[in-house]
Amino acid sequence: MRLDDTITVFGYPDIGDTPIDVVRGTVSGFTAEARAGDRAWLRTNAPIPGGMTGGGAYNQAGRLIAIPTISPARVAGEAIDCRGVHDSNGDGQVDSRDICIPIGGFISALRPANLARGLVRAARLGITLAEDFAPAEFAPSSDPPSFSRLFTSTGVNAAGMPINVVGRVPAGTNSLYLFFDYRNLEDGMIYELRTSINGLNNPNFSLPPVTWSGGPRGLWYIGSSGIPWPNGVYEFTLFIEGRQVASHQITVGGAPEPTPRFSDISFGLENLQGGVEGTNFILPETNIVRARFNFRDMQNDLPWLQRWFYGDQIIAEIPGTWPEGTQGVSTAAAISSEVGLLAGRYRLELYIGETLAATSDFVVAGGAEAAQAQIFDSFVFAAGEIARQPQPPIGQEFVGGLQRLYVFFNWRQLSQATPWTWRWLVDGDVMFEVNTFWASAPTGERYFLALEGRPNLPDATYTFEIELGGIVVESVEARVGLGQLPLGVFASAEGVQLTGRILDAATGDGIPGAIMILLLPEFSVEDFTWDAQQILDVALADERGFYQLPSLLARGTEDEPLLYSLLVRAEGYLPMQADGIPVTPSTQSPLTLNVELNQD
Amino acid sequence: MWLRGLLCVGLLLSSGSLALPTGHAQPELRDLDATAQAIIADMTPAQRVGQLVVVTFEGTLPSTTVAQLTQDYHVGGVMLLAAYQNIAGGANSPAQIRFLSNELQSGVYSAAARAGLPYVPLWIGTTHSGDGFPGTQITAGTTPLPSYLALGATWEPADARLTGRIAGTELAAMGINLLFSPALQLAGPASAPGVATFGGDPGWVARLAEAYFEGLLEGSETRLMIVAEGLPGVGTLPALPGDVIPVLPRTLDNLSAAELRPFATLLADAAGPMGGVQCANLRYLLPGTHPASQPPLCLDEPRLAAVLQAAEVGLWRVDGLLMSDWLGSEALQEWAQDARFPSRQVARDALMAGNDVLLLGSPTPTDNPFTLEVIADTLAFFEQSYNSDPLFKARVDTALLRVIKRKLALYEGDWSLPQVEVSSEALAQVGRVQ
Repeated sequence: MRLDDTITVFGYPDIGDTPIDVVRGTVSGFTAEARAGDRAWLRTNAPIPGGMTGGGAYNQAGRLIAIPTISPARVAGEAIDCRGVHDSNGDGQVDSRDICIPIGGFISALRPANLARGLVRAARLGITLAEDFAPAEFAPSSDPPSFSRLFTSTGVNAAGMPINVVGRVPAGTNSLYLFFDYRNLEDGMIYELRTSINGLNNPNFSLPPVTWSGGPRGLWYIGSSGIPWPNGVYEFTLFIEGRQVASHQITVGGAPEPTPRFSDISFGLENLQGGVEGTNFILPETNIVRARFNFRDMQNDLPWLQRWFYGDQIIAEIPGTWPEGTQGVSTAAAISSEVGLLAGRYRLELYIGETLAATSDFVVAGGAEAAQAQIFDSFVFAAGEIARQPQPPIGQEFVGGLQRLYVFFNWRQLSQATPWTWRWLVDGDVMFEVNTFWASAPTGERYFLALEGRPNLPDATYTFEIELGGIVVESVEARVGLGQLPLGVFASAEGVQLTGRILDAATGDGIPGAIMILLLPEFSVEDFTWDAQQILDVALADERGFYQLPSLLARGTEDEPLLYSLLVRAEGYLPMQADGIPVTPSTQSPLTLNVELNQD
Repeated sequence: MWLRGLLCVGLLLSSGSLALPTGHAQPELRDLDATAQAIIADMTPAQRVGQLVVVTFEGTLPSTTVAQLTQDYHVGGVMLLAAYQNIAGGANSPAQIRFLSNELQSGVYSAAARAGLPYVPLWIGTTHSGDGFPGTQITAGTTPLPSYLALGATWEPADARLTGRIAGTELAAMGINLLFSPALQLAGPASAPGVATFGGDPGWVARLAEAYFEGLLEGSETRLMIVAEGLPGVGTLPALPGDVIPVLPRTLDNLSAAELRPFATLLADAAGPMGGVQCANLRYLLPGTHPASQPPLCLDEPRLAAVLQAAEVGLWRVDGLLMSDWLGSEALQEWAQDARFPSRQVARDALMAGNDVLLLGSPTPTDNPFTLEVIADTLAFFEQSYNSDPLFKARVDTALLRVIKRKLALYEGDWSLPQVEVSSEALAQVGRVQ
């Protein structure tokens, strides 16, 4: 998708039996966020009601490109936008005395469908995560969740770190990111960013209430690039569960000023000549870590400060006066320990005067191999596991029909609470990705994770990756059977096409715009709660009343046919619904189903 | 080892068992069985499976990549396409193409000699259907030729024959020995074939295409393997298969009555001018089945077999080659919907569906999933399957015999390098008919 591309959003604008709604709009931008990159959210100017969350946004080719996603907005636990939709107090009336169901405001952010693609595909392939090593989990902190240390940067590097810290940016800036630390969050909490420009709320640079999935602690960012940020004073306000927790201000506008600045911090080991070996954010255990960073518009004798953290603790503050001239690349910042730096998460903050000018985190872990950290090794794929021992067959090539695939590995010097990400890819597609914190002993053997196929894992190439600090540090793969997924497994179109006309019972004319909703076979009309998860697919009638359901209907067996339920809605007509439409191996495709509606 | 193959050829020639007319003329294919079998016997499994694929490469020079493909992986042929920058452009294009084709052939020849393996000439293919680009790839320096539709409008087979003769002369002079032609396509209500069709009447299309093909063979002195594109016919498609596998709004009965008739007419003569036909990656209507549930035709063994039967291939199929459509096309990638293109399975299914030669590539390099590594992996998989799967081996052997016989026939059974390479004198004929 590109800016100004047209999108069409289908969904249910309200709770109850309000018909499906269609909203058209254009792509107005993209919002970046940690872990998901520059296109974490797709922004639109389409006025999508909050109730349409979970619907679908389609491009002009009819492909699902995003899912409207919003969580009910609350202020201090109270829904700020809610509607009474049923007679909850039994007084015979639906009014303000009934329970108010939070439905959220208008949706301006959509989650790109590709971010959910892996899970959907895994489900279609019958692949699930199997048992794993499952070390003890961290006990959740009793401290309240928080966002803190807010600052802005004009860029993000490959490790998800800010390239600089800015307090003011010139007119024409088209790349800006709000960074902040987060503590004690739990996945599933609702967070939100509200942005105002000169005191006026601006939804385009805000992030509506959405669900947190970044784990309990770390460094996060929200921002955007590629779209000019209008001039003005920006106020960024962050909310957790509807409570305002932090805010930060920055000014966009004016001409670029030659202010002294630092940027682009990276880290390396010190070599024998005092230089920096490697540029990385994952470093092996060592005595000295040296930072490399750019400086511009500096002056000799300006006061500057290096502040080093281990976890949340300041472990060194090194003030000085700038000795290296106006601009260039400096390696002046370093931290050392005679007994060696402990494994764990570190942070460097560089100040010019008293102003934070640049910051970056890095992780010390594993043993050294050249200048690279060697944390994980001895990877082994196996078909089974008993008492944490791999069971045969073991190797990288497996015959087809494998039920489980285990990956085992050893690790060393990885401190507890270090954030790490592991993922399984099947034929290059990420199917499962977990962002978590290292909870095992710092060094150990035969950590294992596994995939399970129902009934078997399909032939494919299975890749297991480990990411630390935004960098993929390990990637190993095993082939099952042919090493490629069966052809057309995702294009599988076996099934019954449902088609027909929706007609006015009185006149026999087609009803343009009538909507056919087909439920998944496990739901009847009575079960249907207008939850998008219950819907197999939706079709709209054309100008002559013809409809064709995009999805094909899976068949049951002759003895146990799959039974489908459908609902038909059209403005000005009484709704129609039916249960028990059987689809068996002998059901003809296309299955023509004409529906007549009576005028309201 | 490889001498044995050539020795057999020599014996056949000297024994006079091939009734060769003066000049170049293709020998009877049935007489080449023993020769082909003898050559195949000396080929390694890697060579055998490699011969069944035709690939693309980028650049105007015999690069390391194409050298690896042709010499190390023994691919059977390459396509020269403007999109791959294989054609330098400008008036010197014919000379550049001749240089490139000669270099490719001599490279394979030398590599085979070094390895003690039989030398099998490469197919060097392109398209050249007139009316400039994109129907014609080598536009600069060659004689500008009218479109098939313009020729069809003359209702004059002699004009089609003459045009074919010019094209055949010029292609052969550049070392091109494999030509994909859409000449058997019927103009339909939609516009897919564009002007690359002789018209909408099956009888006339067949007649004009036959004259055109005969002209190609005359001009090239039978040094051209002609492949008719687009089986079972794309005339009713609004556009050629692009980013999706299209559904032909026709049943097999409909196709037999119209689009397949030009194919049937020309294939009725087993010794006719066409050496091969190429299936199109599409679907057609099959009562009771939703088209979307069908794989693309080139990968669909039962439906492809039904199409061949409806095209009345008959005896022609004994030695006639079936070539696949582009197996790395955007449409196939979209259909597979796999983040890592399932190259092994696509290639295997295409072969097992009946294709003798597989086009491992895409019409444009930007979306071509068949990189050198992927081709190498696919061929390694083929080799492994050849050694372990009797059904696969049988299919390879059948296809390979057709390929080797067709290549033998191109050069009257003489694969010596002077016979395969083209001389610079021949270039004098290129682009002279204005």
